Amino acid sequence: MKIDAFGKPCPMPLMMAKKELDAGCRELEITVDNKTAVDNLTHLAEVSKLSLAIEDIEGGYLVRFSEGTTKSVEQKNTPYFTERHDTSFTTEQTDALGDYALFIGKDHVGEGDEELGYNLMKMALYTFAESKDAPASLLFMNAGVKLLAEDEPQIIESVTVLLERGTEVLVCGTCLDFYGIKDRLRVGTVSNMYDIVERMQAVTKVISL
Amino acid sequence: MIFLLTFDSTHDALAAQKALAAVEPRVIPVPREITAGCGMAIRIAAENKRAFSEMMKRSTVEEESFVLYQKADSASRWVLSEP
Repeated sequence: MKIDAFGKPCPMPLMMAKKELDAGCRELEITVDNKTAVDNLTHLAEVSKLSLAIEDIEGGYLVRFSEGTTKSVEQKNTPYFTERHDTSFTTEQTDALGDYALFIGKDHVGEGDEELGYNLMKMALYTFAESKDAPASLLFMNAGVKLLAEDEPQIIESVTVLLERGTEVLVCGTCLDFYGIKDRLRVGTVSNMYDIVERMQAVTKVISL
Repeated sequence: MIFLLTFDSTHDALAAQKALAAVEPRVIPVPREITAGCGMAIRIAAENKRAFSEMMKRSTVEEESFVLYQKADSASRWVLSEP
């Protein structure tokens, strides 16, 4: 099966590939023109337990799914690639995680004064990072993604502490794209609605700040 | 040394945080072992308080509206910082 997803906006390439895999396809080639699509497809291969080969081609990448043991996928450059491998799929640190997810859909806590709300967000993330039970996942969406693309060291520090404790940090790629800050993401894994909803469903409690 | 400033009002805490921007203040909840007026505190890692005392003097926060604590490392307890 071959799919040409050149010029298709996120998350189309992922959806096209997922549709074929869900239909039972196990040998799939898909051409895409951006790194985020490769990132998403890499993750799809991992959750689908398929092996993946990525080739640089003119103007983009050829991503090949096939059956067999997952070889280590060659990845480079983008920082969130490293983050993904440092965090999402390591299990040794995840024993102390709480059975809850933290949904951050805006860049302040509560409604009212935004400066106060922004500082409450810094305090909240700090307190979660210091607390005994770290969240299983931290899910950033809409203006929440701006928190991870700003030069506010306190927020980056707290999120990094949580990452190191095993919390998975997923950041809505559509939102980063909308705000034009995709290249400024400091920490976390660029993700999509499928994965974010999945993390919400996987825990018994989702806390929204 | 780690310093902690607690405030009578949240407005003062926010003003102080801006005034202290150069020393990378961290806005944290007031530690449970301390009872203080408002719940927002500022934590600063610095060699000594000279690094930020001038900044506080130049800010709109009155000297009697905040309390300064310190401790040598994160494992120690907060103690009042002597003037």
